[in-house]
Formats: sequence, C-alpha cells, structure tokens
Amino acid sequence: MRKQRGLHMNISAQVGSLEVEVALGMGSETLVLAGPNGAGKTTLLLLLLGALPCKKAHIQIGETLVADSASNLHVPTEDRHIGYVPQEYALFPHLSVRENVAFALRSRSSQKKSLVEKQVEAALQNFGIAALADKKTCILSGGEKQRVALSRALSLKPHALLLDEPLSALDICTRKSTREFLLGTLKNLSVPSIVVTHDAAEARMLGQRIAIMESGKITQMDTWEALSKNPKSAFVEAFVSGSNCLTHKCE
Amino acid sequence: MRLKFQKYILHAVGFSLAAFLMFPVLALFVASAPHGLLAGLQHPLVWPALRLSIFTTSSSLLVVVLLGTPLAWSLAQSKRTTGQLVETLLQLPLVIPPSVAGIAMLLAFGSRGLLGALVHPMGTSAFTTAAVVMAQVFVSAPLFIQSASSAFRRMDSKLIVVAQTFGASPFRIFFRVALPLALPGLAAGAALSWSRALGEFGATLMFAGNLEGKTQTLPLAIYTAFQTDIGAAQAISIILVLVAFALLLLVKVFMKKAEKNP
Amino acid sequence: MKNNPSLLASCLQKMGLCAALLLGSNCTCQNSTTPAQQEKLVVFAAASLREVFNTMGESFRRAHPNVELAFHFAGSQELRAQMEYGAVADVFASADLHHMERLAQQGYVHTPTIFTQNKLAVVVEKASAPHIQTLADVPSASRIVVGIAEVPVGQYTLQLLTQMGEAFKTGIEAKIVSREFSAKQILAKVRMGEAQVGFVYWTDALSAPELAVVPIPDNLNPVAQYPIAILRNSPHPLLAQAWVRFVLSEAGQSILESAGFVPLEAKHPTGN
Repeated sequence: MRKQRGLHMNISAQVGSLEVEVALGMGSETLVLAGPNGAGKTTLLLLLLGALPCKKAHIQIGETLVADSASNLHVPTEDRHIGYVPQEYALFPHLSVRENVAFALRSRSSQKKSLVEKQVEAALQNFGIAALADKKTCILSGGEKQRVALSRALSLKPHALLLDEPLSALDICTRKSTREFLLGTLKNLSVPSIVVTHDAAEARMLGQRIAIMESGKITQMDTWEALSKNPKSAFVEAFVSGSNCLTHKCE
Repeated sequence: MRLKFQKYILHAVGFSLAAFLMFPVLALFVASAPHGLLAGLQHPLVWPALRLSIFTTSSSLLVVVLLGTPLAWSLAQSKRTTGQLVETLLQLPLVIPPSVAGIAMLLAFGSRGLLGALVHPMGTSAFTTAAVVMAQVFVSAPLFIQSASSAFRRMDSKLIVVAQTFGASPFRIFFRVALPLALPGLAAGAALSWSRALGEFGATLMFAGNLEGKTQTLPLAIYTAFQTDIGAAQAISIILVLVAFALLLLVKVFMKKAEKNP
Repeated sequence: MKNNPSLLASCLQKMGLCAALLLGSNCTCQNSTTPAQQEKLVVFAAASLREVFNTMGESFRRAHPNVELAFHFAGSQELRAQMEYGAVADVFASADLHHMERLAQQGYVHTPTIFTQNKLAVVVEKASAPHIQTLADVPSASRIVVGIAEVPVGQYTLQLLTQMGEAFKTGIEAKIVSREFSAKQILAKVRMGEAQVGFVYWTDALSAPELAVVPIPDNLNPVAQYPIAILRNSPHPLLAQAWVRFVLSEAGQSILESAGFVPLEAKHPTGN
C-alpha cells in the first residue's frame, strides 16, 4: 500500500551541457538528494515538475502517470499536483503572507471566496504564521519565509513535495530550530518528498534515504548508515565523513 | 586629497555632457522675450496642433501598451535564440531614419502599398489622423518593448514555476504575478515611448502629411511656423517642451505610486 | 613576440607603404592640373532649381576648374530663415520676389536681378483620377496636395485659386489633404499615388512625364519671377559675380529654357 503511493521516475534529459539520467523509485518517505554543485539536483527537480523538456521520461506519482514519452504523455506543470519550494522560497514579493497562501488556493479551486478564506486561515494557523498574515514577505526572517513557503505549497495537498536547499539561505543559528520544524512537517506528510541539500548533517537528519547525485547520475542511494559503511565514490566518502559540512561548528 | 580630486574629475566629465544637453533647452526658454512667448501662444497653429498631439500620442500609447505588453511577455519567455532574433528585428524602427520609416509605411499601407488595397480599396491610409497614430506607434513601440521585455526578464523565473505548481493559468500568472512585478519597468518604457511619439516628425510628415487640425501635430506646426517666423516657432517649441515635461512628471508620479502599493 | 623582431619590422614597413599609397592617391586627385588653391562657392537656391543648377554647375566647373561649387537646395523660405540667422553663403537664388525683398530690406543681399521665370502646373495621377482633364474638373478629386502658404509654390497656388474665384477656391480647399514644404515633396506624393492632384511648378511637371498635366490658361497662371543676388557677407564676391554672370549669360539662359523655365523676354498677358 505504501509503495503504491510513492514516486517512480525514469528520466533522461539534456540540459545545457549536463546529461541527466536518473531512474529511481521511492515510497511515501523523505528522500534526500545530495551532491556537489552542478550535479544537476535542482535540474532534476525541474524535470520532475515538467518545467524542463526531457528526451525520455516516465514519471509516476502515486497512482497517476504524469509523464510517459512512449505514449507521448506530458502532463503540464499546472496539473501535476507537486508542491515546490525553491531555494530562497520564491514568495511573491508584491503580496502579503496571507495573499501568498490565498494565491495558491485560488489558483487551483474555483470555490467560494469565504471557503477559500477559511482554508487560508487554517493553513496560516497550522504553520504558526497567523500573526504575520498581513506583513509583506520581504521583511520576514528566513525561518518565517520558509514557513510561508511550506504553508503555501502544502495548502493544496500535493501528491509530492520538492524542497530545494530549504535551509541554506538561513544563518547558522536559525538553521537548527528551522531544521526541527522542517523535520516535524516532513514526518507528518503522507506523500513522497525530496529534499535537496549539500549539508551532511541535514541529510542525515531529514531523510530516510539519501541519493547521491554526481554529474547528472545517481551514484549511490541508501540509508546514511549504509553509505557510511560502503561509500562508492570519493564524494560520498567526503560527504559522510563530514568534511564538507560547515554546520558542525555550530553543533 | 588625491581621492577628492579624482571624484571631482569624474563629476566634471559627466557634468560637461549634462550641461551640453541642458543648454539648448535653456536657450529655448531664455532667448525669447516674454511677450514673444505670449504672441506665440496666440499663433493660430498652436491649439489645433496641441489638441491633435495630445489625442494622437495618447492613442498611440494605448496601442503600444495594450499590444506591446503581451508581446514583451512572449519575448521574455521564448527560447533564447528565437527570442533574441525577433527582438533585434523589432528594434529596427529605432535605427531607421524617421523619414525612411514614413516611406516604408507608404509602401506598406499607401494607395499602392502591399496592404493598401486591403485596407483602403478606394483610397489610401495616408493623410488621416489614424496615419499619424500609425507613424507614432511605429517609431515609439520598440522603446516600450525593449523596456518591458527586460523588466519581465528581470523577474525571478522560479516565481513562474511555483505559480504553475499551484495550477495558475497563464492569464493568472501574467496578470497577477508578472504585470505587478514588472510595472516600474513598464512605466519607464511607456514614458520613453510617449515622449518619442510626441516628438515624432519625419515619418508623420511623409506618411500622414501636414494638414491643420487633422495631421499637423506640434512638431509639424513648429516646422511650419519656422518657415517664416522663428519667434513663433520658438514659442510653440516651448509649449511642446512643457507638455513633454508634464507628461514625464505624470509618469514618474504614477511609477512612485505603483511602487508603494503594488 | 619577443622572438620575431624582423616580423614586426616587416609588418610596420608594409603598413607604412599602404599609408603612403593612400595618401599619395589622395594627393594626386587634388592637384592634377593647376597648383592654385581651391576656392569654394556656396549657392543657396530654391528647390525647384535643383536639376537645372546642377546642369549649369557642370558647365561652370569646366570653365573654372579650381572652383569647388556647393549647392544648398531648399524651400526659399527656409533658406531665407537660415540666412537671417547667420548662415554664410555667396549667392541666393529665390523662387519668388517676396523672400528676396525681405532680405534686401534687411541688408543681407546686394540688389537682386530677375534671372528667369516659372509657372504653375497641375499634375494628376492618371491611374486613380482619369476623369480629371481640365481645371474645372480638379475640385472633383478626392486628395489634393499643395504647398504651405509660406513656400513660394504655395503662395503662387493661392494666387491662382483666388483668380479662379471663391467657389473654385473653396472647392479645392475642401479636398486638400496635406500642405507640403516644397514643390518636390508635392510631386513625390502625386508620383507615389498617395495624392491624386498636386499644384507644382511647370518645370517639376516636365520632370515627371508619367503624370498627366492639366493645362492652366496663361492669363490665369501666375508668373513666378526668380531673382538672384549676391550676399553682402559673401567670402568670395568675385566668384559670386562670375556665377551670376553665367546664369544671366546666353549659355545659362538657354540651359534654363531647355529645362522648361519661362525665358525673361516672353511676356504673356497676365490677368492683372
């Protein structure tokens, strides 16, 4: 049952000078996607969203097939029901917090105004940002922005959630508390989620499994323990040993 | 000491150009006596030309903004090579001399023009007030399109992807996300476009002709007056400069308001 | 770079040779026959004189090889405005007496002499208006182009219309779609088919044989008298005199006549 509600992808694409070839399957878990800069992590997220063209693709989310090049199926981004929180959150700068969340809800449903308002209030409450409702997004702190972005993405009950470096925009001290909050949110989700990070401590904490992406390909995908015991590439070795992690100093 | 000196040099170099630009405008205002200006205001060509200029430039601005904004949006979203090629072509009216633009419009829309027979089977599009608007649109639209498309490009592309994940339609993204964010750039482009249209002369003379009340805009009136009475030409020129200045101020005020309440 | 001083030297040598060739060819162009300094003669002339003065200029240059002849053609009113604001020229040839007299009054020119005459012609674009055969038919055109009142051709047109009577004048004015700044512009618009009828000079009509010409009775057609004068601030008064002499000479007059200008001796009966 849980496996059926997962995410399965088989993607082959050429984006700029990078050739991306990824085939993986996951359940309703949190998968961490880690790798060096330029490996294609953000690109993979965009490919999953359908925002970039693929040469060949077969993507299934839950029970829905959203892409299948064999049958010329390419569901547009608007209909894939995937929540997306980019690096630096992409909040609409000209709208307040409430309007940001309302934008998401109004875009999808054509429900009555009063119903949407109720949903907006509920979403704000759930993420503890009701007090910020009328503030403009540019004055929020990093942690507050992340809550708004998550609230916005999750208010539509997506079938999958993609987070791109959710904590890298935060200063080291905010990171810890925000990481706890994020972990709680992810644990309460019942849909597959992919978190991109280059920070080993985050990877270890947030994901059940970690997929290492290098030069457009997944070189290893396993639990943290398995990766530590059996690193298959130089990057993985450095990654698990924590030598490219800056946050250790704060611990 | 050396640091201050270098700062002064930089300011002085820039100031010399600013002075060169301001001086003729100053001379326009100062080199005529006040009664000369009043006499100029009473010149029979002035008021019909002023009304016509305001009417035609407002119409051409409306056309340019209504049609140019979606065009700029399409250009900003298109793939690099096609988009850049089309954009370069769209800038051609800027480098063509205005009178050449006028001839080109005659060849396209005139009585023997390519589209002339379709638009006006019994006559010509030339010599009409609509022709004035057409000439103004032709020379001023590229300025708006350039400004607008770079304003759209400056937008964070992730905002669009995120909006799409919410299921927002292309209309919703255009009207609710792109337009409000690009508004300052659009307003700046509109100001440039409007002032270019206000000063348009060569293409108008060639394509629309020169008839009081119908096609004689302020620049044409100035040139007509200049034929015999430079004083009158000067007075009408001052009016044109004042109108242009007022329009630019109007746009700046609008822009500031837009920035405060997006 | 460091190891090829000879290469650099030979490059420089070649560049030097090229430069010398270029300069030399320029030099030979200028002083082929006479070592005398080139004098420049600037003639401001009405736009209607463009072709005929260019032809006359060729003859003049053959007779005066060390003279650089420069023409500036524009509407007579424009040229007068430029001279009033300090433009430097040697000779002014106007298409009407009015602008010349104003300049003479203000002391810009020496006494002018009338050197030729012109008359008006009504040109018609055959394809779009085949029904316009006589002057009386002209008000039935849908697009007529004339000159602005300040340009000589426009002023003469006004005279003609007044002579033809109030009804005719109103009829024509209702069909005017544009007032141009020179006769050449009027001609161009008719030739392009944008205007059906244009009021231009007879000499312009001759240069556009594809257009039909509506005959204007001589007793109604205004006589356009063209005066020529030497400017008081001319830097080359002797040369200016030579040009004026040439224009008034038999040779000059015959060139004017073959271009369609009305010779001075021909006196046709005027309306008033």
